Amino acid sequence: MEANRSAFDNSISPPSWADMVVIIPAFNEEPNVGVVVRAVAQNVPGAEIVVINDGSKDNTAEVAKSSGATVIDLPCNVGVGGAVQAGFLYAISRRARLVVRVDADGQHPPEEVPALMRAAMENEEDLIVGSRFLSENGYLSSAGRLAGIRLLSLFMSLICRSKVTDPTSGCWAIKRPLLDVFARDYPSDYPEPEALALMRRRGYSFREIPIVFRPRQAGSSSISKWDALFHAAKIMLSLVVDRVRYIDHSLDRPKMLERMRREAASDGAVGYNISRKV
Amino acid sequence: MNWAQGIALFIALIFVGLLGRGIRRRQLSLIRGLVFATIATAAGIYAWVPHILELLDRIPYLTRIRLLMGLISFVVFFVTIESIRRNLIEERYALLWVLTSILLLLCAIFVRVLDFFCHLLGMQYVTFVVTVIFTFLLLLCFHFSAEFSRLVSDRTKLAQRIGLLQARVEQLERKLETIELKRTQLKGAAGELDPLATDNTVIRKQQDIMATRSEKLDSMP
Repeated sequence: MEANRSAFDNSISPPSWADMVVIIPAFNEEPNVGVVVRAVAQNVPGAEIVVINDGSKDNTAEVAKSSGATVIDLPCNVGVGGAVQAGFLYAISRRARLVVRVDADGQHPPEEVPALMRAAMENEEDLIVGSRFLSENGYLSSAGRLAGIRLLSLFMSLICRSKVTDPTSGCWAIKRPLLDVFARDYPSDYPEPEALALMRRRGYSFREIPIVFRPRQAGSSSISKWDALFHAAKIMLSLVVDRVRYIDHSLDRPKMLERMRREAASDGAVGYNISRKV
Repeated sequence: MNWAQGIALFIALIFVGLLGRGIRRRQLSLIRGLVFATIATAAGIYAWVPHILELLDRIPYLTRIRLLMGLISFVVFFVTIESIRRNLIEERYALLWVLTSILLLLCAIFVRVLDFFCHLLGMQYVTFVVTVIFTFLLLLCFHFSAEFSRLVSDRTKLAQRIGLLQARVEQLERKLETIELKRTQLKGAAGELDPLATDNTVIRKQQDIMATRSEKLDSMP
């Protein structure tokens, strides 16, 4: 940990955990969310933890609040894409430099959050993805889902022109220019793979780091193992649709960097995270 | 009188009864009243003249279709206008329906005009009318899909905004509470101290000043 801190000191302004926001979208995760919030708070003391309650029917919001997280309580269920986007909007309003997104079901181990953040600060990529398939051990998935994910990885790698091993992973660390893009335009159907493909079209880059996943703490996944292949096919279809869709090129990477530089110059803000090499 | 006539008479009587009761109690809507009256009349006529169906059979089928089309267009038009009057639908959506009914009416009245299109497209009159209606409904469905997508996206934005604003309000409330608390703690030293200070070091300094002051007060003879 101490060895890695020196890498921070070389950046434009040394960051602290306080510049970072951890967002946790939660839908009916009452049994898990408290544990996850406390574990994340332990691993990244000082970082603001935001739980986005996506119109849960149970006491997710109260549990999250009592475990010390900031809660964004959405009045109705808008889907994981909309919930995550609400988290991005909040992070921007708090001038966060780095956002980490983890799931509320406890599959993304909280002790890996600092590793994600460190990877984000040390590398110039805009997005760090925690991939469960780059690590040697840990919980993977059922066979059906594994086949679906493998198929999807291959397709995604072709579309993104960059190797993707875990296209549906939601264990992300996102840096500033990309954060603004996602806050403005974030897909809603299959957010993670679609967002990856869209950001590649806009000239942003990502890097995968190994993360050891754990099985769910409680409750059941939103996708049953049987229709995993069907699910993969649906995602691929929407990726093809995204590929031919008109996109707003004013959100392309060079333009966003230019805009951020201008904003930083005009109001003297320090909260912007421009990679060192750019 | 056979059993079919009997059933028809029974139905006619029931609907006449419903109509009468509704009118007496003044709680019958115009549309429902018209529907009741139509059913009662049709059933009554059948009960009275059972060979009405054979008589109808002698009318050319085109005329009957035109009559039906006219009736449908009238119903669509009437329901649309009533819905607008009762603020059930907005005018811009109603316009499509009014157009539908007018189109249907035109199809029923000007058969000769449609003949041109029928020959052009190689269709029979009825097929052509059905095609027109089908196309129109398809467009309407597409219109609704587009509207629906827009509404869903708007709903997401609204939900996000509400959630963010609520979180902000809660944060501000908490901040205000701390300020109020500190203000009461610093009461009595309001003259030169800043009661709105939120910075911990400033507050500590102020508390020190108060402490030394009370010490001075205590040591005074």
